Amino acid sequence: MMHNPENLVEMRGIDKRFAHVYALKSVDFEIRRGEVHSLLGENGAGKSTLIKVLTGVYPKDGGEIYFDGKPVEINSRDDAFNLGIACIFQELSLVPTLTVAQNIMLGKEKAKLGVLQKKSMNREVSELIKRFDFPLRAEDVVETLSVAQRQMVEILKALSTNASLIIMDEPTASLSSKESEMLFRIIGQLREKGVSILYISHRLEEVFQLSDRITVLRDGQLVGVVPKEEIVPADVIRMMIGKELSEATASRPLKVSDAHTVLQVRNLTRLGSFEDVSFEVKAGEVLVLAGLVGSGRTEVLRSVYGADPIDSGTVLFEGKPYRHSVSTAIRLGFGLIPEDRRTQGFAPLLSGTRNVAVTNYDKLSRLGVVNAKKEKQLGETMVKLVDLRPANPTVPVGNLSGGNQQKVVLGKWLTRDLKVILIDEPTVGIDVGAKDEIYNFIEQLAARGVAVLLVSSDVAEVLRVATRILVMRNGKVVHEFNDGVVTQENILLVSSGMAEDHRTEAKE
Amino acid sequence: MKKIIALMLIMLLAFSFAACGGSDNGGGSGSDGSQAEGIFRDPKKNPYSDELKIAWIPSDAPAANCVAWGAGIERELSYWSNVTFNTFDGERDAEKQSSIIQDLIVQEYDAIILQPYVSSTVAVAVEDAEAAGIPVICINIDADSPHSALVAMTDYEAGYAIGVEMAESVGGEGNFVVIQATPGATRGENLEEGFQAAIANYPGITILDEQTGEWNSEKANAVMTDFLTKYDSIDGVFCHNDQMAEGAATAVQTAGRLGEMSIWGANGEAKALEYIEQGLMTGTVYTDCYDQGATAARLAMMFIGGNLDTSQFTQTLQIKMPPIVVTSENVASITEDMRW
Amino acid sequence: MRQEMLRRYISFGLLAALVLAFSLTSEFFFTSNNIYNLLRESSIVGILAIGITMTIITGGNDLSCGALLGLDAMVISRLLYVNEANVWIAITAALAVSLLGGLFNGFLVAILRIPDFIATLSSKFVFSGLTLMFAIRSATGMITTKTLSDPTIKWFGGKLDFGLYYVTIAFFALAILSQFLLKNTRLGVHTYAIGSNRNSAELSGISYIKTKFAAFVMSGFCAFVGSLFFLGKIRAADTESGIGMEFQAISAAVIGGCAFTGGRGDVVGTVIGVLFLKVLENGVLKFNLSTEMQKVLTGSVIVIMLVFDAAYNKYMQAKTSKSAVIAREKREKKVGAQ
Repeated sequence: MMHNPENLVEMRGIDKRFAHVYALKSVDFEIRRGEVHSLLGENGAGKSTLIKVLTGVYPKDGGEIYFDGKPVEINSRDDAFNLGIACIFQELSLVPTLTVAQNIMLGKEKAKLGVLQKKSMNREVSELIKRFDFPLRAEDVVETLSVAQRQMVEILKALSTNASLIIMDEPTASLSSKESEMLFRIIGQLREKGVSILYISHRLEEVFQLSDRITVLRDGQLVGVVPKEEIVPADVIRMMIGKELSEATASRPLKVSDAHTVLQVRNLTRLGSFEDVSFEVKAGEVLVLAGLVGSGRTEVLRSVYGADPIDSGTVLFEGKPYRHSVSTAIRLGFGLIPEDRRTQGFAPLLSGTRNVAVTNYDKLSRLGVVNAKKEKQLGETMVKLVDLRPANPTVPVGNLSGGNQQKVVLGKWLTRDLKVILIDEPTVGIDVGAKDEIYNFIEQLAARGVAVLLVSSDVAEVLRVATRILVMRNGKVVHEFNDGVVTQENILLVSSGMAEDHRTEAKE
Repeated sequence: MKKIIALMLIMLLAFSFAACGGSDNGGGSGSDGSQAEGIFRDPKKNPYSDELKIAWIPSDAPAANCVAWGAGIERELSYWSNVTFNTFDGERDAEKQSSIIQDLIVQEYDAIILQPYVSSTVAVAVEDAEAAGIPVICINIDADSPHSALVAMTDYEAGYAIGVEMAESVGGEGNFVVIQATPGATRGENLEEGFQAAIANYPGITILDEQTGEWNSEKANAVMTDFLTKYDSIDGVFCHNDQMAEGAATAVQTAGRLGEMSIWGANGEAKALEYIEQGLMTGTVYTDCYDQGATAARLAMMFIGGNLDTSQFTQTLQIKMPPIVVTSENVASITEDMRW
Repeated sequence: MRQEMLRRYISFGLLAALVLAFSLTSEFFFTSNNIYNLLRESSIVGILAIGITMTIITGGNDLSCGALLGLDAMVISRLLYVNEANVWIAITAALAVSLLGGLFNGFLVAILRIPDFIATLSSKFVFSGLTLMFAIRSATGMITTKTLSDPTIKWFGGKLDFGLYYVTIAFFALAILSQFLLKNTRLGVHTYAIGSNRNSAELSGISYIKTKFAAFVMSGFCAFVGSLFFLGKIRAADTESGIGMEFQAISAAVIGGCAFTGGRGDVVGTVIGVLFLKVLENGVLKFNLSTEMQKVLTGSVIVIMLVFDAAYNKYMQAKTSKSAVIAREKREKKVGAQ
């Protein structure tokens, strides 16, 4: 293989397996000196795995990495750091109680006999700040800074180690537009100084504004590398989705149900999470909230359930308002299947029976004393209802497979008289066979007249189960798909803000 | 911001030092003027007319004996309308008593009645109080430095008397166990020494085991239960106080072995006397704690009004309360108003 | 305003209010003897609290330092009384014991990765067990305590001519030194970094193990210094000496602004906290209030401080999320306009 001397990083034929599943399969990837390179792909396409291989978090299972034309082994974060690869993560990695200067100089402080040369350090950092004209002072304490300012500190910290490649993972996720503009200007400055940037973002508009080139991954494989000038957003989305999808899952006919309205949400706002969200869900409907991660969908779900407070707006159940609390919601017949089932969905050390019983103690106990026989019956009912494997309700749920864990979480609600079920990312980390079973349960529930409100980032999944789709972006509902045929492409374009904002008017 | 804080701190400190310069008339250095003309001096105050403050520092205020001593002191001092009497709890903490004494010196108390938790750890504070001209009268347990007076229950003698009673009751042949005080407690040591000295005269007596019951009933109950399972033949058990003896007695009763052994405590608190009446305990050494407290109070008034310079003492004056050995035979002679 | 500054004002304000209240109500409070006595009472707990502050800033704690102080005092007493050793040999032995104790805690926490609370709670029992083993015994085998008369030990309990005790001077000197260490040395910055964001600190090449060891060794050293002045004051060690002092020291650190989550607080705050506790104790003795009263007051102040911390964090969170909404609205408008 010829090495292009323009390349700072070359990754050739990178393989990465988890158990027997390929997360990356023979991926080639390269970044030139002084370019802004974007990495795109749907959730699970292998973006973060690739970055983790590059930064030494995961060892690779095959392939080579060249840095500056020389073959290198990156086995730890230290290795990456020493080569000059710096990472600016979504979760910021600064020390909040120290000053800007202390953070930038952390681990390489100037000291005589252990006593810090504060003045000299502050002066050096001030000069660094001046060079980029950042709105920062060396003496500021990091916890008093805005998120954008903290990112600048991280960038300075990377630069102070003479990083030649800075990886930015969703850097604008919590920035205002003004702050984002500033970041983009900084990225421009860095490029001029010959620093390479690897940029990862769900926001296609940013990607197109900033990048020199774009690499697209899908299912752990390279789809293509294209210069920005030669491509339009719709092409990129097509590359991300892939063309070989069958018509059945690639599109879906939708319609508005004429059943009675179960859940009605009006102008719901929670500051910092979502605002002015209105929709209704009818009996037997599966309403999907689609959109990008961080667009506020999960928060809407939790607020409707009463788990998070709301700042304004109303939620009506069968036309009547109700007290905003989880216990009221459960009594009315709400169920929630949370996003992270490991931390919110079940108690791993308890048996299947106990987990299901938790939401049913009102029926299983009298004066606080649990009827053990009824509890046992309930466990057995649940096993049959969700087809649990192994068919033993006494196994601790933590020992089950991901799919079966999710079945237990479903079972918690299936044994109740449900009116509304709120489901958040139900099939993350679940194998294909179990996915289908879970879709079947959702359909069964809908057929029983339950109103289903589902959040999903998996566009194929959205099209598999939805009868109606709302797309959220930046905490607001930006589009509703409620009739005709919708495709994956439509949804992704709207989600990423690259489509004309043609929000449908209130239902005629 | 920081500078303001620093400034305020400095001002506070400066302020305090300034104040120190101004009013250095406290009692800190009484012993320095040591051109002593013997141990006599002019009385500092008139006990009949001057306002007086007397403090009582028990080791553990809620304990029955401490309550009784306090009541005895208060009853005696209540005849003096010019005396203010205050109790400061030592909270079973060796250093706490020392801190309290240091503070009472600052507050210029006229006398301190102290029941030390540990003899040695209050020594320096007692020394300082005496040097400041405050007479310290100890109750029951001596402090390790010379001071005005000690009003003690008998401990060595009581231990000795109990040893003799127990040994005689089994004809000089038998197996005994001892449940001891908290390690380091002076009263426990003295009781033990007296007891051992008595037993040494009876070569037929074996001490099977000794464990601490930490002065309390529950712990002693557990220790005794353990002894009962370990040893098939126990002829007598001696506990360093009545509370532990009560705990031990309950253990023996539960095991159904009451008839087998004699059970002895020390102090003579009300509950122990009841146990003796009920046949649960064999005996104890009774002290009239009210009288003991009152004696300490009278001594305090004597030192305040007298012309003895107690800070010159190289030895502590001692009064010992009479040891009254109580068994079922004479328990009735301890009348209700004497019980505590 | 930063949380640290607010906390400093609140704790200092409380101290000032207390001093003012007692000065106005007791004729004995603002006398030179009382001030020096008060400072003396604060000093030993204060010296321990300095060490504890270090460990709390690393995100940990040290429940064993009180027991370690007791062990040091017992080692010195035993060597002097039973072995009749030279006083400096006894003191050196106690220093060695203290440093070993600190290293032992460091080993449990940094190498064996046992959580601080559990590790130091266990070592507390180890230390107090050793204290019992070293305890002086009488002829009958019972544990006894003996008053020491060594002039060097007596010196540690002494004072300057005008009344200021040496222990207070040592306390303030140690406080200034450790404040400098925390704020102006590499080790100090690393201590904050490890406590505030361990992950990031380690990525910056800071050793968690070294920093933890340093904090525990310093805490051990403070226990050693404390033990010298403790012996100077009490001149005897019993088997329970020092035990429980760590809780006063921890309370002082919390009142002074330390957070159990680490990365916050400093020695100046802890000194204020110690003075607050001791002024309260001192005033309570003046009015002969019940000790229950004093405990309730101290507990309430700590709860108020913790509630403040929680409220402040919540307020900051709300503030940042609200500013994010405003920012987002502006962006939406801009996108709409395009």
